[in-house]
Amino acid sequence: MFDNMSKAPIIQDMVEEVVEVIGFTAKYLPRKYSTALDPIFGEDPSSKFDTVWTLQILIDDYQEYGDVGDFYSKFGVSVTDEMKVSFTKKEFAEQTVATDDDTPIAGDLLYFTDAEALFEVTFVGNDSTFYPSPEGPAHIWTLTLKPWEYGGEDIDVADAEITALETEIETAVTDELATPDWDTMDDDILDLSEMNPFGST
Amino acid sequence: MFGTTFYHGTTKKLIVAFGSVFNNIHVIRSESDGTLIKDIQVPLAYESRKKYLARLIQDSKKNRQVPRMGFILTGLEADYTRSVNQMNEYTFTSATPNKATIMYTPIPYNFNFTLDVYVDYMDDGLQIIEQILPYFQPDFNIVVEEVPELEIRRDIPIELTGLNMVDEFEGDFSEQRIVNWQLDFVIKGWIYPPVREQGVVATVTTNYSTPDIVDEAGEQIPQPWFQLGTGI
Repeated sequence: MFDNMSKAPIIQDMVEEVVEVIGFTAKYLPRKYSTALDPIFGEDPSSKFDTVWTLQILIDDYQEYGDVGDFYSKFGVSVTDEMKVSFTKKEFAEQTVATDDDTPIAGDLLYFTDAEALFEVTFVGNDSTFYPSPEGPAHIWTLTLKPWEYGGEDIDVADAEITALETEIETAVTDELATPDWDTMDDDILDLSEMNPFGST
Repeated sequence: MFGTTFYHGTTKKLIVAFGSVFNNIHVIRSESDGTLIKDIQVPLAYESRKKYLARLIQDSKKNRQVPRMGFILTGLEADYTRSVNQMNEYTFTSATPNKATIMYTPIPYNFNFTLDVYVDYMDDGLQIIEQILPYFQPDFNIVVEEVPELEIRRDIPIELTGLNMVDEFEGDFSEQRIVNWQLDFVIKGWIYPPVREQGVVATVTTNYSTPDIVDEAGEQIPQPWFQLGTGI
């Protein structure tokens, strides 16, 4: 049946229905780049997130997601699990109709309510073989995600859950700065009475 | 060892001192016109810890935050080029009456440290590195209270011995780009021997006599010994 192009709308409806029925709601935050895009290093440390869209997400592959990908590195616990999700191009286009963001881009974020966590898009593919149809890939975006490493980017969206999570992350950083784990000794180790090379503070 | 338990914790103090040097580094995020967007203080942590405690500290649902720095003591070796006479003793007053606190000279050791910088953005890394490097030409002195109970404080040089950058940008698109800086330092510190108590010299007895005095017949004329006593 799939070699008959007249069935394309039916297949699209089926794909959208599958996503609607067995998918779940997630929030999509496109990354906004500022004027400070660095042409040399090809990066924008001042990028931010000020928009949130709600989408129905289908998890394609979560077998590698779990505790296996967690490892302890010199910079703390790193979560490297990957997850692949899909959502329909139609719904994404409906959400983004007012903007030019008609394509998901690596660097964008997804917030999963159940997990209370943000995930970063690391790869966007549209050649998914999830659906056994030539038209299948045309109907969905397939994204590879990993847990987001907060890099100081501003999240300024009108969403209580995401704002609370950002506050929680920033509080964790503030707490870490207030009491460094190595600075637990009562003694005054450094004698700065003669000269304070770090200034008056 | 040898029936004496002692621990000055000087290595731990050097770790704290090392962390204190790099504890207040900031990264600035700004627009192209210079407008400040964010001032981020870079967290610094000792890299090694029990893994189960690491899990307790960091919420497993959240990934780590960047930029961040870590440091670790990688080893130490004796540096006998700085050693002095091993039999020299430091003497200190003691709280115990008629006792003195003494200690042999400390042993010079070089403590090797590594400071790792982990950033998501190249510019963040350069900001951090350029704030550190000017202080080390090649060393930077700090005054460390090594044995506070004996009021021993020393100028301790921290020498920058190496700098390395890793920018892993090649590979699969789903792989994360990693920008790491690694700075190697040597702290020229000291390991202190045990502190002992010793009685003080309260009395010094000095015996002396004048040269032999003889009479005309050559017979020695007995002379009394003179004794001096000095209380200290």
